[in-house]
Amino acid sequence: MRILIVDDFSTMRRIIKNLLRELGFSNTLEADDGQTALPLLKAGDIDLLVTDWNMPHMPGIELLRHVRADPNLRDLPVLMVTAEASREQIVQAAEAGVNGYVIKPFTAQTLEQKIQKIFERLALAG
Amino acid sequence: MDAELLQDFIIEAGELIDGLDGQLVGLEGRADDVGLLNAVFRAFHTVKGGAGFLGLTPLVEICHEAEEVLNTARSGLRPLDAVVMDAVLLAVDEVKRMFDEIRVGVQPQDPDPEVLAALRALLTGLLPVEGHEQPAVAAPLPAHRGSDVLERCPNDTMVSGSSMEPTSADTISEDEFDALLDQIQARGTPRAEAAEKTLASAPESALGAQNNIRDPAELTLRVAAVRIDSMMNQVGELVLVRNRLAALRTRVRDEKIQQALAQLHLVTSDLQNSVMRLRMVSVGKVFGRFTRVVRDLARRLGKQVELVMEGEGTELDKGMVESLSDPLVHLVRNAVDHGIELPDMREAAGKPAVGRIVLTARQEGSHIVIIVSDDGAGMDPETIRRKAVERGLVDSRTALQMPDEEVLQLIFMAGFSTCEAVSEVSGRGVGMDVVRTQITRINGTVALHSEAGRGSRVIIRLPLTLAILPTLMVTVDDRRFALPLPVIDEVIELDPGERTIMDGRSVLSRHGELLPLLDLYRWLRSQKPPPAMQSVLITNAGDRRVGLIVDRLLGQEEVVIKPLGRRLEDLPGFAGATITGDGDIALIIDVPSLYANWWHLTEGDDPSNALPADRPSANLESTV
Repeated sequence: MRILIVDDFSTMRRIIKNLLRELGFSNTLEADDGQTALPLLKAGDIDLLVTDWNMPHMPGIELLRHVRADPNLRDLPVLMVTAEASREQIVQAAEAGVNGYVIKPFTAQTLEQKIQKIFERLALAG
Repeated sequence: MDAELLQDFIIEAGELIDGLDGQLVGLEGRADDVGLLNAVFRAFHTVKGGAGFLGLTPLVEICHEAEEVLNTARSGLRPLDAVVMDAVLLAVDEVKRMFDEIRVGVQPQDPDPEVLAALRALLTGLLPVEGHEQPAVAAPLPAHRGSDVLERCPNDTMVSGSSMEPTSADTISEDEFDALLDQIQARGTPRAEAAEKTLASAPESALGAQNNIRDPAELTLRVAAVRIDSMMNQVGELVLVRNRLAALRTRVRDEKIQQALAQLHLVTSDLQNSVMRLRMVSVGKVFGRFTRVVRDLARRLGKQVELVMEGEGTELDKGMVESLSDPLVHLVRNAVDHGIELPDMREAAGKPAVGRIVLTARQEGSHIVIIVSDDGAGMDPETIRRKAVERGLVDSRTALQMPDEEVLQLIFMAGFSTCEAVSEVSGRGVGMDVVRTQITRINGTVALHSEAGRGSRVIIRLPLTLAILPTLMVTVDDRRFALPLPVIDEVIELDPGERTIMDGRSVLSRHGELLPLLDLYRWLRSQKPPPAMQSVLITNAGDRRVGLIVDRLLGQEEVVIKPLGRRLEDLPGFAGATITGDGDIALIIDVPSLYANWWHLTEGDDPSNALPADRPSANLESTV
C-alpha cells in the first residue's frame, strides 16, 4: 500500500512515516502542503492519504475538497490528522468526505486502528 | 523517540521559534495582518504538535496556552493589544528556555506559573468552559484548571469559539463520528459512479505522468551543521595539500602531471566554493532577534524607536552569523540606550519623536558590509578626546592632533566608555572594544562615523567566509607572514623619500596623504639591516589606511586559518597561523590590531613594552 503523508512540518512527516513503518507500511511519500500534494495524488498510485489539518497555502480541509472533486480521487481514503477532536471541525471534515481522523499525539496502535477501520468501512460499503 | 528525530525537531521547531519575536513585534504594529497572526499561531501549533509526540509535556503546555490566547485574537474575541503581546512574548521566552534545556539533553522544566497565569488570565471569560480543551499530552494535567476558570467568572456568559478551525469547541466521540459517516454515506453524496473512475484514470497514469513529479520532500535536505563543518575542515586540508603540490610543481617537468595538477587546482576551488555555499545562511537570522531587543529596551527607557532592516537576505557564513550576534546586539542596544534621545528631547531638537535605527546588510565584492545607524544624539569628538586623555588611552598632545574621524575610533579601545554614569543597559566599560575584538576575530573591521546631533553609523566589513582566507604571502627578515588580502588596498615600492618621521612616528607621505607606517623590523626587533628594496602594503585597518613595510612579496595563497591556541590568542597583531604550501608555518598578521597596539609608540620607544621580545615567532610552532 502506498501512502502519501502531507504536513508542512517535516519532523511531523517523519514521525508519521516512522509510525507507519512500524506498522509495516514502508511505501510512503511526503508532501509539505496541499498544493504539492495534489500533483502527486493526480499522478495516481496512492492508496491512502494522511494529511494534517493546519497547513499554510492549502489547509487539509481544502486539500480534501480538491480530492473529492477530482473524479479519479473521489474514492481515495483520507485520514485527517488534527490537534483536537473539535466537533465543529470533525463534522466539517466528515461533510467534505473524510474517512477518519486521528488526534495528535497518537501511537502506532491508534494509527493502525484508524487505518483498519477506514478499510473495513470501505469494504462494507463495497 | 529516537534521538535523530529529536534533533530534527530542535532544528526545525527552533527555526519557527527564532522567527516568533520578529513576527510578534511586527504584529504589534500591524494588528490587522491576519496572515502574520496565523503564521504566529501556526508556529505555536506546530511546535505543540511535535512536542506532544516527543513527550515534551511542559512545551506542549506553554504552546497550548499561547495558542489559545492567540486564538481569541484570531476570532476577534479580544484585540491584539500590548497586554496580549507581553503575555505571548513571555511565552516565547519560556519556549526558548525549554529549547535550551532540550538542546543540552535535559527534560524541560515546567512553564513558569506566572507566565501561565498571565496567559490564562487573558482567557478568563472568553472561552467556553467545557471546550477549554486540554493540551494533547498523555500526562495528566492539574485537575483544577477547568473549574478555576469557572470560579473566577461565575456569571460570565460563555462565548463559543468562532467558526475558524481549531478553536476549542466541544469534542466528538468515535461513535458519534461513525454515526455521522453512516449518515453521510446514506445520503450517498461523496461516492458514486465508480465505474467512470477506472475509465478516466487509465490513460493518464499510463502516460507516465509520474515521471515529471518528484517527491517535494527530496528537494530540500536538512543536514546537521557539524557534518558540514567537518566537510569544510576536510576541504581545508585538501586545499593545503593542493597548495603543497602547487609548490612542488616546479620540480616536475612532465606536462601530463602539470595538466593534472592544474585541473586539481580548479576542481578543489570549485569544491571549496560549493561547500562554502552550504554554510551560508541569511543575515536575517541575526537581524530577526533585534526587533525584540529594541522593543523591550525602548520600552524600559521610555523611548520610541523604529527599527528598519535592509538586506536581511544577504548571505554569510554560518559561523560568522553566530559570531556576529553578540557584537550586533551590543551595537543595537547602544544605539537605543546612548544614541536615540527621549521623545521630548528629540522634539525639542526638531526631530520626529520616534527615533530610527537602521540595520543594513549588503555584499560588496568578496565582502559583506553591515551597518548599524541611528538618527540619535551622535557623538562629540571633543568629549571623546577628553575621555581618552582622562583614561590615559592617549596623551593630550596626540589627542589634539588627531583628526575628528580618528578620535571617534578611540571608543574601540579597551577601557573606554562614553557614558557618564555607567548604565545598567549597555555600558560596563567593556563596550566597543569587545565589539571590535569579536569582529576582528572573524577577520572583519569596524569603524564609526558620527555627527553630534545627527546620529552615528557603525560600519562592519566582513569576509564572506571564515574558514579559508585569501592572503598575500610576504617575508620580513626571512620570516614568512600572511596578510589577509581583503585588507590590502595597494602594494607600492618603498621610496625612502616618502618616509618621514612625525612626532617620533614613521609616516608615509604620498599624494598629500599621510599614512602611519609600520616597520616590521622594529616590531620583530631584528638585528639585521633591512634590504635596500622594500615594499609597502597599504592596508585598510578599520577605515584607517596604514602602511606596512615588508621585504619581499611571495604571492597570493589561500590559507586555512589555524588558531594560535589559548595561551597566545590575545597576542596583539596576529589573527592566527597557517601551514604554507611548502609545509612551513606562517603567521597571519592582523593589521588593525597591530596598528592599534603598536603605532602609538614613538620611534624612541622600545616595542617590547607593547609586545614581549621575540614572542611573535619563538614559541608558536609548538602550538599550531
